[in-house]
Formats: sequence, C-alpha cells, structure tokens
Amino acid sequence: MEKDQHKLVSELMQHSKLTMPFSDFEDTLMKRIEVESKLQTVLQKDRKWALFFFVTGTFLGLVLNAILENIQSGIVGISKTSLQLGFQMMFVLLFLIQLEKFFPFQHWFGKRNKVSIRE
Amino acid sequence: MDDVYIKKVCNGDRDAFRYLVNKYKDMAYSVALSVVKEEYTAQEVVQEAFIKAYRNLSSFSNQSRFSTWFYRIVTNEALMRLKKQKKELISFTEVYTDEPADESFLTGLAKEEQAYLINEALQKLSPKEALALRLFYLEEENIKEVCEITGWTEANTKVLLHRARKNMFTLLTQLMKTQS
Repeated sequence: MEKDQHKLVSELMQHSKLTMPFSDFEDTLMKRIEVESKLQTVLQKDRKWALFFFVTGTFLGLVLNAILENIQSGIVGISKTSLQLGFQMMFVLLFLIQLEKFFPFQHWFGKRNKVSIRE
Repeated sequence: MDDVYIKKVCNGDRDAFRYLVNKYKDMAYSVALSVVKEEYTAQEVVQEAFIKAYRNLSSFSNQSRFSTWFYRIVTNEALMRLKKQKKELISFTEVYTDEPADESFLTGLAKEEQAYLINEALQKLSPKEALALRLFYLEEENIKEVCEITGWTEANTKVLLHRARKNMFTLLTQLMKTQS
C-alpha cells in the first residue's frame, strides 16, 4: 500500500513540474547582479580610501600630539591648553558622528514620526 | 558541468552565472512556491536566493552539490519570507477530515489534469509538507539530500513525507469532489 502510494506520487509529481512564469526573470536578475557587482567594486575602492585616510589621520594625529607636547607657549596667540582642548573636542565630536552611524540616536531617544515626502 | 561555470563566475565572468540561473530557476521556483504559496513572492524569493548565491559563490566548497547548496538558500529565504509575512506555518499534524479515496481514480485522468490537480493540492498542503514532496520527488528521491537542504532529521523527513503523501491524496479527493 505504502509502496504503491510512493510510486504513484513519484509518477504524478513528475507531471507537476513548474516553470518560471515570468519571462523577464532572467534579464531582471542579471541586471540586478550587474548593479550589485558595480556597487561591490565601488565599495572596495571606498574601503581602500577609508583605510588610507585612517592610517594618514592616525599618523598626523600622532605628529600633532608630539608637536603640541614640545610647544612651550602656544601658536599664533592661542595657548597650548586651549589648542589641546580644541583638538580633544574635535575628536569627541567626530567620534560621536561616526558612532551615530552604528547606533542611530533615534534608538536612544525613541522613534519620531516619519514625515512623508509627499505632502 | 556546474563546477566549470562556478569557476568562471568566481574569475569574474558574470555572464557564466546565466547558465546556473537557466538550469536552476524552475526547480527553485517550485521549491519557493511550495512554501510561500504566491507566485510573485516566490519569484522574489528565487531572485533574492540567486543574488545571495552570486555574492557567496566564492565561499561555496565542492563538499556538497551546487544544487543542494542553492536549494538550501532558496528554502531559508522562503521560510524567512513566510515568517515576515507572519503567516503561521501550518503544523504537519493538521487533520484532514476526508478519508483518502482509492488512488486509482488519478491514473484515469489526462496528464494535464493530473498536473493541475497535483499543483492545486500542493498549494493547499502545509508549507513543510509541500516542500518535502517537491524536494524529494522532483530531485533524486534522496532523503539525505532533503535533510541537508532543510535541516530536518531523517526520521522527521520520513514522517513528514508519509503524512504529506496521505494528506495529498485526501486533498486530491476533495478537489475531485468539488470539480465534479
């Protein structure tokens, strides 16, 4: 009984093969893949630039730190402590801006109602 | 043959992927449709699965067949879509009230009628049961491969297939009754 059922289902299922009913499926998919791979290339380029700027920024930051340490009075009338404070504040601001990309402030302060573009 | 095209795609030949799309799109569509039950959603699922496969083709190791690996992506994508739609997965313990009739009535039908009825029944079966039938009977009737694709245990798959067969005949009987 079980074997017969299995055999019959096997036969019937062979007649029930489906074909993709959307004729433009292949072309749409290949276009999406094309866009995807172009985006990947751009992303890889951007990643290289990001790494370059990170290394350069770190190096320049270290140089600036060393210069500020060795300065006795100040530069163009700005005292050494004010300069250091200014750079520290800039660092904190940049850090917070970058942090916002990973943890949007929206999550911290609750979701606001989205404003529709169409009025 | 798949290996040659996979290598070509990995080496940057984007058009070689067309061969894989052509070869697997129909079966992938069948698998997706058995889970999501809706043509447009099934098409979206297959498209998403192909894109994921393209992205991760370099990480595909030849330990399993490409079809097994790809159908696993399709199945996962379809189940995820089903979850998103918040359609409840009908458990395979669902009870069909009609007694299964003598199956011989099916053999008397024309092939087109058989195909229509079977596809209708598959649409009405629970996603898991329909998926099990599609994967088992449209591929090489290999339980291990079904397990590899779905992540079910062998015993679970056998029970599921048994129930799916039984429920399908019951549904076919119901469909025949409503048609006549």
